[in-house]
Amino acid sequence: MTRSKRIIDNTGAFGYWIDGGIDNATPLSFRFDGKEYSGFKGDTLASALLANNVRLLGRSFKYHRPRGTLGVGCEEPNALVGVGTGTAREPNLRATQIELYDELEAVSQNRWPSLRFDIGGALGWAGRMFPAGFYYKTFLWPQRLWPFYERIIRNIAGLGKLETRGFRASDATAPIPPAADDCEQMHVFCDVLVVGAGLAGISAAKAAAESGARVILADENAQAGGRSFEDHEQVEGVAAHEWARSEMDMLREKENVVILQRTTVCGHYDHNFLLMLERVGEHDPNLLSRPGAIRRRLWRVRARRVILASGVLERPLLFAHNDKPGVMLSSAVRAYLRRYAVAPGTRAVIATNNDDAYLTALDLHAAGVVVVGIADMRETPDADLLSRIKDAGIEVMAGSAVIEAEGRRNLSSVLVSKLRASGRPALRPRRLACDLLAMSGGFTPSLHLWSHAGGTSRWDENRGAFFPHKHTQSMLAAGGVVGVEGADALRASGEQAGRRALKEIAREDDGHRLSGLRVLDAPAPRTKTPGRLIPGRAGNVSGRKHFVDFQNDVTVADVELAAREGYHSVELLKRYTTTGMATDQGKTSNLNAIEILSDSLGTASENIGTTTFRPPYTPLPLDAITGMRRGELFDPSRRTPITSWHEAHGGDPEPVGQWLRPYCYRRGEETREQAIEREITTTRSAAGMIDLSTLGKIEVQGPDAGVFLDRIYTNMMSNLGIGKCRYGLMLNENGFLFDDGVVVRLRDDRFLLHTTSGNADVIAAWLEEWHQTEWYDLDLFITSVGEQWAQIGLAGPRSREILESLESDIDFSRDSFAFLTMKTGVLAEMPVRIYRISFTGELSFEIATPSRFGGDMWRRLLEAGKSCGICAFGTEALHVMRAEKGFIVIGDETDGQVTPHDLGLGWAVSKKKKDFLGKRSLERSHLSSEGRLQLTGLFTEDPKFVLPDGAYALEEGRMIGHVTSSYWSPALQRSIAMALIENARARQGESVTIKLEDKDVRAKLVDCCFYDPAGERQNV
Amino acid sequence: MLIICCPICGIAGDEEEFHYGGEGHIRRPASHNASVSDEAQRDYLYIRENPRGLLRERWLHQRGCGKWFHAVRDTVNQEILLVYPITDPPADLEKLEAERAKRETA
Repeated sequence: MTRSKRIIDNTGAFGYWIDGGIDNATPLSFRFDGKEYSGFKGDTLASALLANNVRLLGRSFKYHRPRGTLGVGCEEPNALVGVGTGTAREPNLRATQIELYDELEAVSQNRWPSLRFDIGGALGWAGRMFPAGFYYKTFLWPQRLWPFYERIIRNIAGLGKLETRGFRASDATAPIPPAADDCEQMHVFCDVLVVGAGLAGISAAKAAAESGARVILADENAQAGGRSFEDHEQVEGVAAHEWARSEMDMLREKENVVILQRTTVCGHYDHNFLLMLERVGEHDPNLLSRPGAIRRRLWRVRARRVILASGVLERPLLFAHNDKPGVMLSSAVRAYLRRYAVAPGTRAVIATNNDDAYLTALDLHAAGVVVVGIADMRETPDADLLSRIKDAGIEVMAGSAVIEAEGRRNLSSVLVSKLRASGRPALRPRRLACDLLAMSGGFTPSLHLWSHAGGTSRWDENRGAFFPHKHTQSMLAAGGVVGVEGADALRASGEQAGRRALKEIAREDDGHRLSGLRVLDAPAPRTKTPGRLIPGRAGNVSGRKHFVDFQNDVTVADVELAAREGYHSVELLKRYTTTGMATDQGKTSNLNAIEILSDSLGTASENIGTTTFRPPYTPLPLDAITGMRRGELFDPSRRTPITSWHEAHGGDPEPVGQWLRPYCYRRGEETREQAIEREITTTRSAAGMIDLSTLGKIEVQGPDAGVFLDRIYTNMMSNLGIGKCRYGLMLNENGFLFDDGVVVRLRDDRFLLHTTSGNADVIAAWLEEWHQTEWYDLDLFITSVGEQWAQIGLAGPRSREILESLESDIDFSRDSFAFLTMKTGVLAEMPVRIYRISFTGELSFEIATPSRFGGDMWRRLLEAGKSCGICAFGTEALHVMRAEKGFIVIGDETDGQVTPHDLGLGWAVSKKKKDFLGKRSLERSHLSSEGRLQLTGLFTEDPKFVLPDGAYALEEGRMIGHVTSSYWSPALQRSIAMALIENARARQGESVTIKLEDKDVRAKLVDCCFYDPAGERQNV
Repeated sequence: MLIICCPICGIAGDEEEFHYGGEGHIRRPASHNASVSDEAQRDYLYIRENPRGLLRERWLHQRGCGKWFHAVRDTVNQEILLVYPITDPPADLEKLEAERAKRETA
């Protein structure tokens, strides 16, 4: 049966003659759920489907009820579809905002096996599973069955699904699609940003642009003009939409005005920062076929003033089965008629509590749709409108309301009942056959952006809605959102706001600081009060649902139940019932929910207030937020002067902070484990070298450098001899260890600090902070020199021999170059600083050279070591060798709650110093109390078994510690581990149980220096 | 996202250029006293005013001149009323409030 169709009309009254409408000279074909349809350029997917008599567009979230289009723009809660094919399909798009293009491919959502026959909906059983708060109370018991319930719920509930096929590594049949790189971001500053290009927005932009101020006019629709297409009004003597078009033409000519259509202002943040999403090319594949084409653009805007002209959103009425396909918002019906020349039905009933829906009745009548009658909840409708309606021969049922919509899948009739004085329906309703119901529950100001950054709202009893009240000086509002009605008044309101913004900017430019607060006037009182009663709320007992939130399937009964259960705060109500959540963020439902709560509690709506509106206004795709920051640009990796060598020689890259360091170097068919074992064995028997350029290097210089470092490190640094090295610990003010490294005194007033690779920037900032904010009287400079120096660790018994084979003015002999000292000189014709320090336990030198020599130095050392069988080793070999020695690594053995004493590093904490960072906190009783986790070595009973990192030690069911590092030790030919265990030092020799997923492992507490405890190997 | 003007280099920049440093003018007791009570250390480490209204706080011009400074920010409407060097004494909040009230009536 044909219910909705395109209007064939040559008079130009519907759709064809406005440039906001459709172009019937350009037919387009598209597919919905695989079936081919045709539409016109200028259609949305929703209007084209209606023109093809397709009224069923999806199934609802919880109950799987058949749903059609309710609205015409971003407020649409029902008509969510997926657009595109395969992995490029984007779910949850509003059909009302998808501009039709040729070969568009769309699918319905949330139905199985098909949209017309859906199991979930057919059984209807889901209804009983989802009362208000079902998340919290239905499936609590027995808890072990929750995974079962969860699976069922996840299959039934939900919106569109992402197509993930092809993204899984295991699915080898589908190639991984290349990541789209067609989203970009723009940063822009302006004097005035106008949100919304309706009549108020256009005139605000016009007024603001007059003085040459930089103005941006952003509008979410394809065409400016707002509701002027469907309102029968005039501005300055011409039809409102024609006025809008000619004003826009003039604005486009102005160099200081940027007009952005298809651009949604998604969020308003502090100090007038705004995010706008511009749909640049997604509405037209031809635009996207060009190389380098942009699909979406995210604008990051700083505006000196924002003028909010976001208008109003229409509210649904609440009656039984108000969600049936064929029940639509009245202004949406009018928009389909006027903009798209689509008649959404053949026999219509109007249900309203205000004047606006009368215009819809007149338009329907003019389009040849039979208007059966208007059920107006008010006793005395406007006399002027009444006479116009009577001329059209349309019956007005004053003081009546629609109380139920009937029909199997589609609307076939409605029940209209006279309302009693109490507002409740009288008995014996009239049944009116119809296939379209246009409803209007009044209009709600679109407050979202006003509220994002803390603007307050206030209730206006007269109009039954919340209006903008207070905000910071930076935001103004004009037009429908502040309660202005009528085309001329809208224009004047916009103009006033535009001028006001200019005046304020000019005063600020003159050096005046304006008040921080703006308080808006209440909207002007109305003469015609809309009714605000909710008829026919029969509750849920009869199973006849009155939907409040269409997208989340929240009914009047749900809200009332929540109120009875004590959810009296609107914020709690929202979370308990989920009303106002999901992709439409309650654009059509918020106010109705507040009114039901207000009725249930017997308190005024103004006492209830609104929930907090949060960005984004409409969903913001993640690729728009990401923009170009993907792949390499997401987090660029840092390179040392030696990185290219690593890449060319099998270095297995591992991220360390922003660096990519070689984990190991595999040769031929070697596994990682084999490579690591070879690197360690070669180093310990001959020599190995590692790129340490990533270590943080910070120079502190000045007469007070020593005093300063005494306060930064736990140990004494001011007494360090020139040319000497000392291992130091840094604590935070809570007394916990957070970095370690070797400090070198280069000169009397100049120290070089080494930090861990990942922490270099943090430590430099930490030093700066203490110097600038606490000890600013100390005379010194802090300079990060990390990238100025390449550093190479050369370790192994033959390392001295290798250095001696190169030309140098440095004496490397044991007597001349002592452990923990530094020498400066020339090595292989390159300037060097060489530190004799050891993290591997072997005889070891660290050779620092200015970065530009790094690559050469690496190659010369490697060449020199060839005859000894030298090899390069990676980070893992270094980690294993240090663990064999029992040396800690920040981040492995520390977790932000570990003190030096816990790690047995008490020797590095000065007892003499009056003060250092963390000293006072270390004295807290808790940090020296019994039962603290202490560092220990672990030997597993089975020497071949390597414990997993982080495994828990359990005792009598209680966690007593965890494994911090665990490796296979090539030196010991057995597994070793380091662990933090309660009272470990007192328990050496005892065994503990390590709990793994599949078994328990016994391990003995041993000293954590596993290898060469006397330190003889580096003392040669 | 705030716009902050650095009192050291004079540049007004986006919040992303800056790093927040929490409440300002918190004295580190150990810098001044040989012995510090548990209570004094607790207050220093953990107790913050967290006011609704004007707050003196620390900011670092991290991606700019690299200097720390103080700001007075209204935690309700995010207005920044004053910025001043890190070594200056605490700003007089009552005076700032009064100045603002005067502006609002003007």
